[in-house]
Amino acid sequence: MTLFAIEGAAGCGKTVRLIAALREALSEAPLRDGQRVLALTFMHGARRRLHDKLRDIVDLRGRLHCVTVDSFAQRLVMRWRGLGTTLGVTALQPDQYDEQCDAAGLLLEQSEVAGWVAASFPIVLVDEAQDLKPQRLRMISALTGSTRLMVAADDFQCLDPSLRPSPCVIWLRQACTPVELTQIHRTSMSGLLTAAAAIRAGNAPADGQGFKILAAKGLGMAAVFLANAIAWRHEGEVAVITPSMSGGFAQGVVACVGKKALGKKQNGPYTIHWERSEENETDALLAEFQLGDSASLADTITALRQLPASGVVRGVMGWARRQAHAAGVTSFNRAEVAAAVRRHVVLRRQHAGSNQAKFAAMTVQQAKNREFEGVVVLWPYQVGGDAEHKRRLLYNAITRARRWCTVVLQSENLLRVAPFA
Amino acid sequence: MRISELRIENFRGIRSGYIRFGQHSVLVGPNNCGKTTIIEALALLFGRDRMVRTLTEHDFFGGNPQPTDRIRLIATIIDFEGDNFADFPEWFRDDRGIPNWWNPATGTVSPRRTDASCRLACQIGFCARFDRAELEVEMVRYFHDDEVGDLFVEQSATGVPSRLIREIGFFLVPANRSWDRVLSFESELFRRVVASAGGQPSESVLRERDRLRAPAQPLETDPHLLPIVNALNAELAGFFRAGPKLQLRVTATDSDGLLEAVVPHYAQADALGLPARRHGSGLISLQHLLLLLQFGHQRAQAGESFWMALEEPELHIPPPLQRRLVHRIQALSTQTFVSTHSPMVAAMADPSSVMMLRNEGGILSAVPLLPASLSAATPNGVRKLYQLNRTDTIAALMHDAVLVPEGRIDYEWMKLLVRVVDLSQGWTQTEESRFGAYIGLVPTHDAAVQTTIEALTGLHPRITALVDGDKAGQNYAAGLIGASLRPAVIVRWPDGWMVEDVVGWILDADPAQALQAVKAMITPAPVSIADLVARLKSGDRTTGGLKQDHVAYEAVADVIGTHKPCCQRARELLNGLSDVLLGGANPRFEVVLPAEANLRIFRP
Repeated sequence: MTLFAIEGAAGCGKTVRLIAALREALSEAPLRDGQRVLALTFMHGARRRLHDKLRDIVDLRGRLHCVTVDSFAQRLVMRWRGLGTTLGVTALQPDQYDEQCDAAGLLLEQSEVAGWVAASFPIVLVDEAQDLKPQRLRMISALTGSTRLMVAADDFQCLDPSLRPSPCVIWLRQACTPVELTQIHRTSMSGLLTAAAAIRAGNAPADGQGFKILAAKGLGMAAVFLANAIAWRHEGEVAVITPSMSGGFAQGVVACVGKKALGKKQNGPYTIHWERSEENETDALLAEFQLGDSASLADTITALRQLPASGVVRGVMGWARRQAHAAGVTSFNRAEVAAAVRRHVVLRRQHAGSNQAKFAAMTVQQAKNREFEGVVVLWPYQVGGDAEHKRRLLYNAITRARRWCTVVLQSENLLRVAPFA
Repeated sequence: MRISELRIENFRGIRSGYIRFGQHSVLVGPNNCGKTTIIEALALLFGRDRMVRTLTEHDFFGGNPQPTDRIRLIATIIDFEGDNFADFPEWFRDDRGIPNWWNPATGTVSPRRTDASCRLACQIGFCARFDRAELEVEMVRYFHDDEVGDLFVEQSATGVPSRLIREIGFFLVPANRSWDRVLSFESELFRRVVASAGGQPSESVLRERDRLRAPAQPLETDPHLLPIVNALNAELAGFFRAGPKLQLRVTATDSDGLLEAVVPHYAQADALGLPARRHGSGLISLQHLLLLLQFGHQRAQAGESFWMALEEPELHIPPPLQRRLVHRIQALSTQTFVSTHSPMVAAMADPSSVMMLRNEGGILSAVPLLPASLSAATPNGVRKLYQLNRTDTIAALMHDAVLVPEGRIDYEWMKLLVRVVDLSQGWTQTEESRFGAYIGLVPTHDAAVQTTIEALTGLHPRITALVDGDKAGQNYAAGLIGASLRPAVIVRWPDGWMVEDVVGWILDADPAQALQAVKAMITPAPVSIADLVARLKSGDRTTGGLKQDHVAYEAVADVIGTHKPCCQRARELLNGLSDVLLGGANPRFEVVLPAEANLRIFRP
């Protein structure tokens, strides 16, 4: 029906503008009984944050369906399985995300499916659309005919090198005239603003108000920089963000700061929590998990009880019982249970909010779409990708900061190459 | 909206079943074929919470459910006006069903409209499993998309909200009518009737509650009770510093307590009203039905849907009222489901909506008594089965085996013989008469034995035939043996015999006495039993022919009934006949030609 798109740099209020457009649409055409607004994001963290932002719109109370594109696709494919079969969609595994989205796109191209979705969700919001792969874009573009579609994107924030330029942004520019937002609202610190603008333009960032680059000579010095940055922060939470874990620079610096007070001023020690990725969390859980082949239900439960009690472990025990009692499964093996653990880790992360530590360390990917008072970027030697990719990583990292950002380089040599040169 | 079809898997006595419903369906079939199971399936699918009882292992086919066994019920709902799903958002949307299309010709449901005759359909499913660890049945009522995985293992179901269930308005009057308090506020139905009639009289209820909270003359102040109450209060004060005081109230002093305490009474003339449960069961049955009618009427007036399932309307209600009741319910309801053991009730409905149920080894099938309206080419003999003789036809089909005699006279004689034998039935095994209990007699029109069998074959698994031993009868037998729709058993009287010869043979058990008795009742008196048989065969009244003379038939039957040897012989004949019709053996009815094992010839 209508397509409304917003483009703009990080922190210029795309989401706010999206919400304003949504309010306007709701007042023009209020939702009918049983209708809801569908809000789609690419990642679960972003989903939770978007949900929190939209929750306060009075007209939307209880009428908001905020999900990731992938879970929307999965459910659609499941419910329209029969039509999918006639269209040649074969059975897909739950973790074949791209294929699921492609199948969902195919289904949404059928008028009855699009009409059915539109009857439920006359308005569809998509945030962070630059990350949509062609399969996901297929879903979104199929919805244009039947729903009121509102999309926000910023090509420069796309971190997937295979999506350069972002197919979604190209499509948006062809399908409509996106509103361009240029005024940055997240921060008023001039140094931060200038640095971000410079990186976007392909230039070297320079120190300024709220922003500085410190080149260390090795790990110890970097740790002092980090400890000082935390000590001088005045107040507020600090995110330690790194573009790459390989080489172990960031891990080493964080560990060092956690051990003892550092530097002349003897700042610290500060405990900084690494936010775990799904794989890390699963691996950590499974590290001590022992289970033989063809284990009985009782054995499996006993083995799971050896793990630290958590929602995930309880969930997996429930899964095992259900397999035995409802599906008639009589023997389990480690690989099956491990797969179940992985699924439950994903599930829990989808639904539970991560409890944010005051000092948290994470990758740029994990930091996407979030905001922190202060940001320390730990930039190691080993960062993959071309200059453009590195610029995008740095841009994404420093634009997470509301008040200040310090970039700590592993070595002075890095000042001579992109994105710092 | 109405239900076009229902699929049942693993529920009670039905391993697998499929039934199509018309607007007003009447379910007919032998005992234990699954009439109640179908109605209960509808209640599980569409009943409001109070109507859905918890299930146990016995509700699963076979009674010993394994982890992967499921009860599955799927109903297809059609008649969405205009067939445009966008007009029915309460049925078709993300958190409800997906639009499906029901093909009336094939009964298939698919998400694509493949044919212009397809109707928009929503499928509601019910699934249950028995948890062997918890010893509990887990159940789910959900929107059934066209292909659904296991709801308890693979995927989550889209639940059916109770509001939608209420809007459907499905009501059930079960055969087990334990409802002496139905017409009280306690009953949900009554509350809803009152509520829909313009607001629950909540103000009156609250006023009465307040009155009962603070009665004008509380029981505890009664002079006879007061000393006890005072002593008790004094004692209580020793235990509780606050010193609570005893009050005696008639109800729990909340509105629920008041509503529960209401008991319907009926008063006749000026007499003191009697509680409903002290009246006869007729009145109690009727009060519930009348209440339902009232409710249905209100819903119909408001343009709301009203689905009504009624088990055995013949219970407690005299025949003339049954007819009135069934017609009124049908007139009010969007759709009705009536199960019955009464051929009379079944005969009230259009024959195309009378569903004959068959359950063979757990496979339930349902065939309409008449598949479509009769074509102009339908022979009169077949037409009469569905029209004039519908009650008899349906009654016959309710038996374990159905016997199609050669013609009308054979039907009448067999019926008379069954009656006299049944009337003289005693308690001992030798006096037992099995025929009437197991064998249904079809009122065959003359010369229509073949067409009658063809018409009835799909309706019953065991259609049998009885033909004469004369030339015509032998031809019929030969024709039936060669027919594609061949009866399960064909019984033939001996060569040259007709049913009247069988009557003569029965009288021959006590020839002197029997002839004596017949002479006293028929004028001119027959000179011998052979003479009587000849006259029974002849329609020529000038020469004393008695064919179709019902007075004479009754007289002869009466003689058989009152003469023990004759009666004994008739019983032996019928029991033997019933044995072979049910598939057993009997020395009186033997296989003559090994190649024609289903042809039995009577040996006098």
